[in-house]
Amino acid sequence: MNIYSILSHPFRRKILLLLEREGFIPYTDLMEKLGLAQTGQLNFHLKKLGSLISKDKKSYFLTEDGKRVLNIISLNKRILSGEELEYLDKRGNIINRIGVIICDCNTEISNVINIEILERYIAKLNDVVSVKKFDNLCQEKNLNKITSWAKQNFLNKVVIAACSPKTHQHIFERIFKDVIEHTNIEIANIREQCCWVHDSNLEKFSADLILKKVELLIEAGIERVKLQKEVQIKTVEVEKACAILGGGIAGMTLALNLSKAGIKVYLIEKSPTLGGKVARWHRISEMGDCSICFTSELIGEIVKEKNINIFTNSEIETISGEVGNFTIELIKKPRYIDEKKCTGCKQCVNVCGKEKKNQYDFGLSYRKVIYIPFQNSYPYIPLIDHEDIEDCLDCRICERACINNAINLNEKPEKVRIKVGVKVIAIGADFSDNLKDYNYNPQNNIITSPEFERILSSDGITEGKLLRISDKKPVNSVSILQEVGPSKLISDYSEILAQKYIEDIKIRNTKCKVNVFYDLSKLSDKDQILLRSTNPKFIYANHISVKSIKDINYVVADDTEFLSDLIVLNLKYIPNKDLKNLRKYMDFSLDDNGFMSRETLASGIYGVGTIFGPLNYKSTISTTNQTALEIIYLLSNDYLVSEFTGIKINEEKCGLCGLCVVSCPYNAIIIGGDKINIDKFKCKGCGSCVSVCPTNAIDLNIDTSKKILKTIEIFSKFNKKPMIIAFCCKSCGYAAADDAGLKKLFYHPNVFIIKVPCTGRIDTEFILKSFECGFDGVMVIGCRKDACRYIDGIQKVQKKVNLLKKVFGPRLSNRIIVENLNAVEGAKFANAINKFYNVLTEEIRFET
Amino acid sequence: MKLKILIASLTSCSGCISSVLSSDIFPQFLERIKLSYFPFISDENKIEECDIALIEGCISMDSQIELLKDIRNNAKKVYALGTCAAFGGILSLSEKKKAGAISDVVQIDGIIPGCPPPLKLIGNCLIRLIENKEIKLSEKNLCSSCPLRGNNNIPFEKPVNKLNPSNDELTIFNEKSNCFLDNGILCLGPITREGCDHICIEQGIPCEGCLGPVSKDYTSNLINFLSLINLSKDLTKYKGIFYRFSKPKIGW
Repeated sequence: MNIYSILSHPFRRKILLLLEREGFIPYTDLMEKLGLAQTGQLNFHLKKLGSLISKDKKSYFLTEDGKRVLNIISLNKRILSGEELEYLDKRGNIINRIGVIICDCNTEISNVINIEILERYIAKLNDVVSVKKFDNLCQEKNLNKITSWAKQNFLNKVVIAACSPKTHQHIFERIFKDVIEHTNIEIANIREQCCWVHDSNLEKFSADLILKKVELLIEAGIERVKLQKEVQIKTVEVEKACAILGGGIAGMTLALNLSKAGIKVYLIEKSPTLGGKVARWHRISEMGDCSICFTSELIGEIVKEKNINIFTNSEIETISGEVGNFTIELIKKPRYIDEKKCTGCKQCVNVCGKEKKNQYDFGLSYRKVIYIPFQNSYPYIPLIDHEDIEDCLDCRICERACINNAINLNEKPEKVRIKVGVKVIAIGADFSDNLKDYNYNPQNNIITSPEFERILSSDGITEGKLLRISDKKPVNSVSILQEVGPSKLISDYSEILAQKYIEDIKIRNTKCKVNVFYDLSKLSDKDQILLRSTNPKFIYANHISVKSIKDINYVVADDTEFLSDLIVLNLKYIPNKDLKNLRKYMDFSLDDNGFMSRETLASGIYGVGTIFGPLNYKSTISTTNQTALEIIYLLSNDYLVSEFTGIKINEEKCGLCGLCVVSCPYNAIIIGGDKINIDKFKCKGCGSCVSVCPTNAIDLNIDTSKKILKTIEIFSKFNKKPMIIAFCCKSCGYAAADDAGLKKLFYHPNVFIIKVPCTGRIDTEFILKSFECGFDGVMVIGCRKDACRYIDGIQKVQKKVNLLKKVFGPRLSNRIIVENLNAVEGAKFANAINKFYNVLTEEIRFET
Repeated sequence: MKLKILIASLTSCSGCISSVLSSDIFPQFLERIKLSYFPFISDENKIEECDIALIEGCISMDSQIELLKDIRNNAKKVYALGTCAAFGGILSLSEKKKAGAISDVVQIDGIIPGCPPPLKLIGNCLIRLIENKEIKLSEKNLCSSCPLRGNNNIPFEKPVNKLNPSNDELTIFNEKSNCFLDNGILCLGPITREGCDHICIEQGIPCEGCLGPVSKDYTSNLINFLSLINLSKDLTKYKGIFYRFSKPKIGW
């Protein structure tokens, strides 16, 4: 009795299931339940069921054998429905029920090979449940046929022998969408890689050889799909909110953009007011607009937005979570004045008896301990700095002066917890502060550019008049020293700034002489050429120094002395000093100049403004808008799915040597202390880390090393020399092979193509394994050198190949080649293979 | 019933067997087992059926192949003791004579690598053998327990141009977070199995890789590793520097 042939028909299975459910069923009822009209059909099936069922006077029922068989079926069902999978997984078993589809592609395949022989070969392979031939798999009309075939055979994995996955993978995945996991679909490219390029009718390739190649391509696909394990998918629910650190121009513009797109924004500013540095400037270069008018307008718009929550005077304490779901704890420093009660009448400021230097005028003016930073600051409510509370006289006069009882000198810091999907760093840059060489002394009229802005600004130190700080006398000569700061950083805006100053000075005092000095010794050769302006006021000298005789200052340019009433040091930007502190909470590294490096930002973290280096106003706004789009795109997802095509790390094997970190082009692997972490959203799945791991602790979820090694083994069954293996990267090499196929360019069938995500994925082990398995030559076909899809994969494999050739000398020098092709160079691809074939034939003849 | 154990040596310096003899656990080991064949210390020269065979040294003569096959037929389990038996060792580099690992000729059940195997490893393996369990080696590489392992990890930026630290440099390698590779000194720790007691590293000598690779074969690991570091041109005598303990599978 052959149980499988009994069970092969759905009617017979149905009869068994009916009998199991109802126990005893008379003949006529059975006919009705099965929906049969003729007795002959039922008689046939009942006879076929043999000893599985029995009959008493009236009804049919299951025998002990039948019950046992049904048990097996139901176990099978449970296995297939996934109930038992976990249990089996623990025991290291994978149930494989593989179906193979051969698509004839309108006789394109059967023109070249005998599909019947192929079917017979495939059906004999282990774990193959069913082989089915379709004329045109990609057409909609086959959809129902295919899904019912898959369901009837309880398939959980499928190998499709058809055309290139590059063009059709998504179609096939859609066909099996609800039936089979798309990781369990493997495509054997028998059209572009075989039937279209080795047609035996036209060229003198033997038909047997081509058939063998097709067989091996499909067999390798079967072996690969067998090795596919379930991929764990992790989803993160996206918190549709964004935290922005820094309430300067960049931070505010971004907040406004995001809020208008419907995203909740938390704007967190360390200082007591929004506005950042620009709010203190006199006007913005090339804009003609006075900066405070502009910022106050922007602040006004932000305040109107309901989606924006503003936290001034607040700092970050801790950050946890991952992209899509961060939790941030803030400390709101006390203002000592209740924001809700205060009306901003400034009575308290008027009565306060203690003065301090005003940091918003860079210490050039004085303010009260209780103060409002500047006109148009937001919120327009006085405060006492947390650090200043010690200096407070505790006279409590302000308390009495306040009509609204808004003052509370005992206020304590407050903790706030927020949840966001992304974080943005917009804390800007600082100014260079190493000014020893320039006799910097504001009281002696040698000032910095920010201080000069405060002189020009109408709410500043001199209320906008051009006066000397020391004696408040009018200024008749100004010298502007450019590029003051660490030598390597060149700021493209310094020239614009100098021009702005020249204009502003002219408006205030038409007779005032202005000179702009560049110290060439502090610039690189390239910059020296770039900087040369035709403006006669710009003076370039090889050495510039500042000479002070009592209270008279000179700028000495080479040998010429320039008398200056006011010397302005045009400062360069340096990295924000808070960046180092921020690195405790966020993953990013610093570039050579100490600014934030954009490439190293972990996913879910963005930066805008001058944290990446000096930027002028317009570029700040445009990069901010671009970042806003990226954030809106990310937050428009309800869920983020991770760990799909990327890598997984087995921590039991990982020795934390860091080779993967060196290899990763995206900085997606982070080793901190004794832990290794993958940034799943940064990982693009190129697999170059996998190729260098010495302990096999890392593997890709889909293109595993085991699969590739097994594929090499299967291909080595091809027994016509010279055997060639070609590793093709999926973006260029594989596409070039497809192109050769589409153009029907013939090449020798002795070549076997293995698809890798990137040529950087190619482990030396694969190459050596190929030689061990009997291959005569190895080709690596990847992107062009400067156009690698994964930055430098092709260089990585080139290095490995070069080293292999060096270590093994002449033995391998002609046996491995690396080709750089792009997706339309099918002709080059076919040529390269034919050429390599000839070289290897020659080599083999020489050896024997 | 005491386990019957056979210890044989092929072409070798006998360092591995000496290490076994000098390990702390050896006297106890002797009490718990019966040595059936151990030409190093006894005159008994007949190979009888036994439970475990430990083989030291590489194969360099045809008579050794016969001996080895004989042992394989009589022993339930065969283990390669030391790097020569496991990977071929330094003798396998010889161009005139054919010499190789015992696994080239017979199937083996496991290896106890090292040149010679570190005492701790020998001790652990002997205990497991007495208990009739499989030998278990670490699946990590040397870096994971390296005494010089630092905390911050942006590794291998300097060009690697030295084989050993100079005398002046020796002192800095007594402290933590001073990786050899970070200081431009070639160390094969990343591609070598964990399990030694870091004797070399503690003396200021970088790892030479005597415990062999963890996974893949040695050459693959080596090439992958070299492609990531910035190796100076002075260190390109690959055979001498990198292949001290094994010969590549596909030959020169």
